[in-house]
Amino acid sequence: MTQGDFNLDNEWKYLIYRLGGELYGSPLLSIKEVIKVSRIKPVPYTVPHYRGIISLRGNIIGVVDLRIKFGLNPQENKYGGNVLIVENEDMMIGALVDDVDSVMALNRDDVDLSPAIETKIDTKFFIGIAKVNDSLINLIDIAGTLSNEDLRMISRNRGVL
Amino acid sequence: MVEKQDKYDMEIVKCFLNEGKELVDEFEHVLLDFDKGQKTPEMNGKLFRMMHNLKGASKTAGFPKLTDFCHSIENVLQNVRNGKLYPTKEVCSVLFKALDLLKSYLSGITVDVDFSIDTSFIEKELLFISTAVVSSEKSQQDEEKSPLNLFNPININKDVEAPSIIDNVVNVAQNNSQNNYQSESNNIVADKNNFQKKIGEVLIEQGVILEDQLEKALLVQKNAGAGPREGTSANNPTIVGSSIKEEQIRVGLWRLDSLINFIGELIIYHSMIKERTTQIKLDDSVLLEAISYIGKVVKEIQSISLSLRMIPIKSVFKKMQRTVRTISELQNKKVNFVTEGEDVELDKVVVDLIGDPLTHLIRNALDHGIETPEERVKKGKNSEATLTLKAEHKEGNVYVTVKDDGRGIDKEKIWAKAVEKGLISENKKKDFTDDEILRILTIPGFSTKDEVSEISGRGVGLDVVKTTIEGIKGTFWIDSKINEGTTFYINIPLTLSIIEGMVISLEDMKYVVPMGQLVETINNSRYITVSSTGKGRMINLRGEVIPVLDLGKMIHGNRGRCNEKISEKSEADFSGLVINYGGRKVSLEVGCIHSQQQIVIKNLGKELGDIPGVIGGFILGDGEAGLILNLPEIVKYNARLIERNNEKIAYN
Repeated sequence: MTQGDFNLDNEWKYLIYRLGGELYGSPLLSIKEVIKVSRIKPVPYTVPHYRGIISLRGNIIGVVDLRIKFGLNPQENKYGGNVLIVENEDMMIGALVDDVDSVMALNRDDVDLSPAIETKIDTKFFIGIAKVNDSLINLIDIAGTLSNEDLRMISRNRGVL
Repeated sequence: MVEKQDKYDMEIVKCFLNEGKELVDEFEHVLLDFDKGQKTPEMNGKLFRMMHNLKGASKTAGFPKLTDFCHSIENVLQNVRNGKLYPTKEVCSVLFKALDLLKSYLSGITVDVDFSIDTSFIEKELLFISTAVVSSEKSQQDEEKSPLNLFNPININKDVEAPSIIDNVVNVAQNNSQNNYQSESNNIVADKNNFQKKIGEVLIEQGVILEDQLEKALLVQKNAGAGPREGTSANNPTIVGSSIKEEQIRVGLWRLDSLINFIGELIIYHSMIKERTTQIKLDDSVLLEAISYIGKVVKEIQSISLSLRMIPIKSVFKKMQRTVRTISELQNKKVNFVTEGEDVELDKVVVDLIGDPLTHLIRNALDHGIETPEERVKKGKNSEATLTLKAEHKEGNVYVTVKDDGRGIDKEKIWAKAVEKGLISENKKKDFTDDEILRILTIPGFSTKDEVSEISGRGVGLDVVKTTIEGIKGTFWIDSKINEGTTFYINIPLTLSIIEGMVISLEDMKYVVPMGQLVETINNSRYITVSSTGKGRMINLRGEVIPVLDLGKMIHGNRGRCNEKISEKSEADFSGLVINYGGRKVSLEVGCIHSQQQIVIKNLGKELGDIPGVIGGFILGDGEAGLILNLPEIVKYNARLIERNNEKIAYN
C-alpha cells in the first residue's frame, strides 16, 4: 500500500502509539492485534533493529524495533514492550513500540500530507502529520514499512558464507 | 427438478465419499497383489467384499448410476469367485481401468454431487471379459462332464471380432439378467460361449442373434455348468460379515502438531521439576519416584504422539507397482518388480512428496534402463529384468533405492555431451570421478528433451528429482555400471517437522542443537582448560587436546551477549558440545546442557530465510520462542568473519 491508497477524504481510524517519546499513528486495519511481550529472543547475525523472535499461539513471529529502525531513542519499558502484529502480504511481523496510546478517527482536514520535516522514515511510507488538539502525530504506513522488501535486509554480513 | 438438498443427504454423501475413497484405495492395493500372482480365493473374496460394500454404500447415498457400475465390477469378481472366469492379466487390466474410472467418479462427486461420468464403455468391457474368458483350469476339469468343453478358453480380442455382434450379445445378455442378479453371471458366460462356437457360427451365417437360441444356450449352461461350480464356490465360504479392518479415525494434522507441541512442553516442565529437586536437595523418596515415573510416562506418550504422524511408505510403493505394470506392458518388457521395506514409516508429508520423484525414477529405469527381453537374452541376461524398490532405516535416516539390472548409464556419452554443451572443458576429465560424471545428469538444463535420444534419455528430469529430494532435506545420487544396471539412491530424514535435539542454554536463553551434529557432550565436568599464548583455550579430552570456542560469543558476541563469567575461568566446571568440524573435533562452550528430546521444528519468518547457523525455531515450555542452531555453520561463519577481520587489519 502506498500513500495514495489511504482514503483521507473521509474519516479514517488510526492506532496511535509512542515511539521514543513521539506520537505515531498507523491505519488500524493494517494492525492485527497488539500484544504485550516480556522477552524477545535475539537472532544471531541480524541487523540491530531486528530484535528477535517471539511465539504467538504456536507460531514464531519476528519483531522489528521501530524505534531503532527510525533512529529514535529506544526507551526500555519496564512493563515489557508492546508489539503490534502486522499482517503483511503472506507473512506476519511484529513491531515493537514504547506504548500504545489510543485509537483515533482522523479527518482529511486533520492531516498535513506534505509537511516539511526531516525523518529517517522512507517518504514512500510516510503518510503525513496529523494535528490533533495540541499534539502532532506522525502517520506511517506500517505494513509498507515492514514489507518483504524491507525485511530482506535483516541479515547482517550477507555473503560471508 | 429436485433440489440437491432433498435429493442427497449431504451428511451421508460425505460419509460415503470418505468410505468410498478408502475402499477404492484398499481395492487397488489388493488388486495389485492379486495381479502379481496372489490369486487366492481369499484375495478375490476381499476384492468382492470391498466392491460389494461400495455398491451398498453408493446405493444408500443415492447414486444409482455408480451403484450399477459397482455392480458390473462386482459381477466380474463374482465370476472369478465362482471359478467361471480365470483372472488373467487382461481381466486385471480391465479391472484397473474400471478402478480408475471409479476413482474419478468419486472425486467428481466430491466437487459436485450431481457429477456423472459415462461408464458405459468400461461397463461393456467388464461385461465382455466376464463373458469371454473362461477359467482354463476349470474348463479342463469340466471337459469330460460338460457340453461346454467344446469351447476352449479364448482371449479377448475385440478387434478381431465384429464389435456390433458382440454388443448385441452383450445387450441381450444384459436384458436377460436385469431382473435376476443371481443368475446374471451364469447367463453371460453361456452367452459368450455360445456366441463363440455354437451360436456364434450361426450368427455369422445369419448376421443376427435370436433370443430363443440364446435362451437355449443359457439352459445348457445352467444345467451343465452351474451345478458343479456352485459346489466349488461353496467350499470357499465368504466372510462378508466379519471385516477384519482396523478401526481408524481421521485426525487433522494440526491437531497432531498441537498435541506434539504440548507434550514437548510437558517434557520441558518435567525436566524443570527434576532439576529443581536436585537444586533444593529434595529428600522425599515417594515424590522423587513419582517424578521419575512421570518422566517415563511422558516420554512414552511423546513417542506415541510422534508415531501418529508417521505412515508406512507402502501406499507409495503400491502406486509404483501400478506404474511398472502399465509401462512394462506398454513397452513389452518383462519386469519382475520387487519391493522391500514397505513397512518403513515416514512422516506423512515426506511420503506425500516422495511419490513423484519415485515415479520418475521408476519410469526412467523402465524406459531407458531395462532392455527388451530379446536384447537381454542376446546379452546373456535373464529375459525377465529385475527392478527393485527398497526402503530401509539406516543411521536415523531412510534410504530408498531404485535398482535395475538393465543396460546402465554410459558415462562416456555423458561426458561427451557435457563437453559438447560447454559445461566442462575436455582436458579436465582426469579430475572427474565416475560419481561426479553421473552427477552431471542432475544439472538443470543438461537434461532437456533434445538429448533424450542422444544420451539414451538418461537424465531427463533428474534435476527435478534432485531438487524435490533436497527440498525435503534429503540427498540423491546415482550409481551405475554398464550392462549391470543403475541404482538411484535417495536418503531422506524420517520427518521434516521433528528432530532429536539437545536443549542447551547460553546465559538464560535456551537453544536446541540437533543430536546428529554432536559427537559428545561434556556436562558440568571438571576440565582443565589451557589458555595457550592468549590465542584461545584448549581442553584435554581423554588425552586429546581440542580447542574451546565460546558459543555465546560466536552467536551474540557482537551484541555483547557473550558469557563473560564462564569464559574467564581457567579451571572450572565446563559444559560443552563436542562437534566434528572439518574432520577435527571442536568443543563449544555453553552455559548449561539440559536434556535430549524430540523437538517440533517451527518455521521462522521469511525474513530469516538466509540467516546463517539457524535451522529453524521451536517453542519452549514457557511459551518462549527459541532457535535451533546449526553448529558447524556457526563455526564456519565465525571463522570467515575472523578471516575477514584479519584481512582488514592486515590491509590497514
